Amino acid sequence: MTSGRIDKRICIGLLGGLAAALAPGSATAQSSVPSRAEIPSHEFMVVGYGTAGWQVTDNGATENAFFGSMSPLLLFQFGDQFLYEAELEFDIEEGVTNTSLEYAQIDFFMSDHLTMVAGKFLVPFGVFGERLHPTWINRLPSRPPLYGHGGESGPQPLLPVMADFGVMLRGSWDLGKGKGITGSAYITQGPSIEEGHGDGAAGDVVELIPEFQFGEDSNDINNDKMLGGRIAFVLAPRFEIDLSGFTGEFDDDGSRINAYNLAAEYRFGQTELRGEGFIMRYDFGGADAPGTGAGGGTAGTVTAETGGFYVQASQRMGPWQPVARWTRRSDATAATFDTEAGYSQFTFGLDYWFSPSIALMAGLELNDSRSDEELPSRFVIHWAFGF
Amino acid sequence: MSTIAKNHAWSAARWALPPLIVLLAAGCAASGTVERSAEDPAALASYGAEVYGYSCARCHNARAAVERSDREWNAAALHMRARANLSGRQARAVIAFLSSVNTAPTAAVLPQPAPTAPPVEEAPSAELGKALATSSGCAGCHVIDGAGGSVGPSLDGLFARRDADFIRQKIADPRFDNPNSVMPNFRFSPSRVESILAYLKSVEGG
Repeated sequence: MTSGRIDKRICIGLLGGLAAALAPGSATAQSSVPSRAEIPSHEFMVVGYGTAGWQVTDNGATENAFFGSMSPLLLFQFGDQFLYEAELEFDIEEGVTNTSLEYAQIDFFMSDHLTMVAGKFLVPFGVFGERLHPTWINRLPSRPPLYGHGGESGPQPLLPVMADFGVMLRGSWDLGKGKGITGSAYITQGPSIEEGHGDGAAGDVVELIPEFQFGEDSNDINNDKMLGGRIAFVLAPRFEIDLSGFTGEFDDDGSRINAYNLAAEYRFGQTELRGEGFIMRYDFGGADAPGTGAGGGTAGTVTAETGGFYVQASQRMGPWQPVARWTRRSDATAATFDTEAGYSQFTFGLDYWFSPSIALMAGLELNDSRSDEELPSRFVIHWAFGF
Repeated sequence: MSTIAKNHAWSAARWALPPLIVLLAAGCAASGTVERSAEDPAALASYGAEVYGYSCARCHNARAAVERSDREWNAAALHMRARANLSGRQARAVIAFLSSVNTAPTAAVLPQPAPTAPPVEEAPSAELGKALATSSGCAGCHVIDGAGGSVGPSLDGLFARRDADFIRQKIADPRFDNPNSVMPNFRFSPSRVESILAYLKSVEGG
């Protein structure tokens, strides 16, 4: 099978989906479109969030730093069926102002149940990256260390908050009484890896597991699309289980990543429990595969796995909200899933909400490494402002 | 495609996804839409209060409707429809709820349903209070009689925690004790406040 044949099947699927959605449903969809007199035809607004904070890390020597960020989200609504949304990110790190376009997408609301998304969008792998990562939504001033970018304080993350170029279909079925089923299927350009990774010897976890990046290049590096999907069951008004996964090549030599995610969320009263975990399997191919043949994969290949999970509990008590989170990462050597490697991180936080969207959040991260890697403890305090 | 991936179960998933997309699209399209004109505005707003309580509250603290105009809530609801997987009807319901309780001077952009009859002073009753609580979507944010949302405090056992005067004043003016309260002011008449009071008392055996 060639990449070209795959792409043809993808195109056929997408076009079929588009046609199927537009053909029988379009009549009813159109009937739900309001007249101009009923709903304003367009609107532009700026929302978003910002952060200002301070952190101390302790890894033998103590270091501290101030930090700040702003993420304006621009919304352009046209009628009841189109929305263009783009989120920018500005932050200051070591005196340098970084800017990025987190996502820029067009949402086409095809019917009451189906939305087509195109552009650069947050990939619905798990729940945290797509819905919970904004600082004022996340109950703690730091992310679970599974997600993020290398260079941030703390352990090396496994995945960035994923945003990639492509097309996505999202469905939502309201089953009444607060129950429902939602799903997404998407095709994107796929992952690539940071330079300098993936060339180590087999068994060397740090070198073997590459740092992935998504959406850094709108070109397709290998003519192989990343495919993924998610399905979520809202079993009760405040109880949701979410399954998701993706597969895609991250190099032009057949190296592939497959990932699976399970997430759940439950709220009762003012108590909130949530968590998610994922497993990623790497098939390194090509002549420069690290530790060729040593990992138990087919000749010339190395297979590795890694994964992790976090669980988080919080309790709102008036303006106060204590939070606790446990994160565990299991690193893998080739063809084994060595749960002795990796780390655990315990995070304890306390929020004070000045308004529904403004909070002062403090968090203490304590790491327990199960390898030789030294992981600093960290205290973070920041203002989170949703506007 | 490499021999590695051919041997992997996920290669099957690659082939399965395009047909799945077709099925997803066809399923969504076949399930149709709810026509706006067919929906009772009051019922839609009441449903919106529920959605606001159990869906929006998953990630957000409740924000007061007066923070934005109806037009802005409309755009925000579309954004959240794509982000939080709301159906079209759920998004419209949330907009209807926020619009119905939005007292901001600049909010009145969306046409509001005309009152079906001039307001009259009914005799207070628990039955009327139940109807008012239902149509206003109180259970979207509060637990009443064992069921409801968690945005606001439970109203079960309320009379053990608060006296009747406080409750009466809170219903009439939600911000009288807390200027940051996000509870909407429904502008109930004094007799309707008494009806709701009677209903809340009845569900806790008072």
